[in-house]
Amino acid sequence: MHKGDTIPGIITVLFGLLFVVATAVNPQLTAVSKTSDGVPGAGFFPYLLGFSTMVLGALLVLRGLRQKGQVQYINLDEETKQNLKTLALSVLGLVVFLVFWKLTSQFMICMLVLCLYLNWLFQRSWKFNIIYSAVFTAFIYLTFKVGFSIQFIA
Amino acid sequence: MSAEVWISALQTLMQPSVLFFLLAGVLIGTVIGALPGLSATMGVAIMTPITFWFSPTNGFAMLMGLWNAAIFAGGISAILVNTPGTPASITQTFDGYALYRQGKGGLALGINVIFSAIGGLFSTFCLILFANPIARFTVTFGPAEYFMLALFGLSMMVAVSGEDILKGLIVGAAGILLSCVGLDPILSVKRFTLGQSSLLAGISFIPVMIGMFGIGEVLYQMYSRRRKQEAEEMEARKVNLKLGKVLPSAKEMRQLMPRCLVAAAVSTIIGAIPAAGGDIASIICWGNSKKTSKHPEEYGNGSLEGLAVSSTANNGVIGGAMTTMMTLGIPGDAVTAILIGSLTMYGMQPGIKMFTENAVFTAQIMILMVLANLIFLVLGLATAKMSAKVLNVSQPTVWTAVCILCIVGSFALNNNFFDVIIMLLAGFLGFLLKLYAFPNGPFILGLLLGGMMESNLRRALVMSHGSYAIFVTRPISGVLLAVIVLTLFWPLIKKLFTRKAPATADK
Repeated sequence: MHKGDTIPGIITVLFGLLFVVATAVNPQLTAVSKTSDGVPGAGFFPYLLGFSTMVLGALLVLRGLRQKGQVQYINLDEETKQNLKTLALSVLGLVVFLVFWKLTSQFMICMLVLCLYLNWLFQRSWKFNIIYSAVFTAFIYLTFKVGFSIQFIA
Repeated sequence: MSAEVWISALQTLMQPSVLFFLLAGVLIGTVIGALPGLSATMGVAIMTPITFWFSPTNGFAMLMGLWNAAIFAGGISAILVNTPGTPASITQTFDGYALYRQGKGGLALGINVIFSAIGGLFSTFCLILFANPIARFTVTFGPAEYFMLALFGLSMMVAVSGEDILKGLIVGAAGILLSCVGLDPILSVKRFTLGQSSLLAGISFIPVMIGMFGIGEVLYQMYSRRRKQEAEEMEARKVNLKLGKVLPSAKEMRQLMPRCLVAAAVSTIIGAIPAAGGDIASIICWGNSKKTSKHPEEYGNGSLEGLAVSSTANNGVIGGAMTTMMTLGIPGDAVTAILIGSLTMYGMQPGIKMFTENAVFTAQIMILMVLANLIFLVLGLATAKMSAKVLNVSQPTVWTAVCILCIVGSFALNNNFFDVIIMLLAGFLGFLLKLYAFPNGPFILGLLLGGMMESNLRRALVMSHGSYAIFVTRPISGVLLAVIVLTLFWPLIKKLFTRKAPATADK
């Protein structure tokens, strides 16, 4: 089931439902405008699109169930598992970078560390890693901080 | 546009700073286009926030140079390593690589440069000729027509999203739904802002584009990495076959020209259709050229004709896409979607005002496109034999650079940390969409055109006192509605006809 269209379909239904519920609980978001007859209100479009998304998602779920596992989007062979590990660690690195940038406001140092980390993750040599990270950080510093006067305060 | 407008535009463009940024754009575009895995869209998305720190003319000079050069340079890797640098270069692998294996790599690179420039120049002249009359025609458009136009753009994007129209519709609807975040366009009621003031103006479009085409693409490349194949490709890149002469002879040029002019005209029209990009244009033109050629057997085996037609077609779409974008505000492809975002940031709105209030700037964009083609023509021919060096850069080197440039670029837009979070979320969404074979084009278009659709739909209904008949009774709106229905239901109609055909044959 997880390999075909079923789970994306369920997520689509939930996504549409989220907007429908959020519209329904907000008294200002009505389907019909309170000021003029028959004219749509602020909730008209979210309702329309929310319900449409739910219907389309339900169709995708049905299609996924009919596929009976014949359609596969994720093929977890050994190399893909290794790739997924690298991908997850990269995303984690990016998230940690954002947290540290927000907490310390030391963008350049955080960026240098992120650059070193990503190159290490991609198994680059130490020599390459250090030179690349230093040159790239210097480029960003000179172009954006010195050139465009961007302060990078999160 | 009057002669005064063109002269004024030319005067501004003759400043050294404009030419410098145009040249820089061409150089960056050539590198981005030549590297497999980096597309013109990714390049324009990453560079756009940087250009906001320049004047609009300098910024657009860089973007126009980058875009035009990246599309042409996609052919370099197609010819030398049999891997298209950009999706638009797919058909250049058919004949370009075969020519390279035959020892005619230099000639293939030369033809790629020359005919890309011819395609680009032809479509730019079409833009210059037709954009103004089309824009003037839109003066008669009201909210009903603009709503239908936005819906038409979206339906075209869904229609070309491969065979999976259901998935195209889902992502299109999701894009429009997300465009509802922020202040309601008519009553200014807060919608789905989660108490965040950063969301009052809606979800920033450019960070979403940067995330989807930058981080999203990098994450997908990480996921689908095949180390053995990568190592083989890197080895193949180190083997430099003899390239030979670069310039085609006058006789070859005469033989190739008529076919390529037809390809340029066809690709310009294809480019003007929302969502139909260089990949579709080059496949159609290459296929048609093969059908009508005196030597169809050579196609796919190193045909100069095939390569020239492909090269013409992928740059030929640019002028067409710009025509739709500048006159109607409907993006012809992902790059023009970003350019609409750029124009909005500069306080301009595509449409008739681009040809009245901002006529000088519009003329500048058109001249910049001509200059970009001329610069990459000279630069491409001069550096054809050196271009193979660019291909030695490995993918992980590019990934690190793209990740960091995406972060820096999305922050630099508004000095806003929230934009970086939006960009990362969009990147992850872009990866998931690609993983589960959802087209991302309709999502982008939905997000961009959602506001235009909603505000015009509601304005039209205010005008008609709530009657939906306004969309059918107004002629242009009615025609557009018919085209939309036909576009979306075409696969069903086609199926019906193909089922009936064998039945009639049996009888």
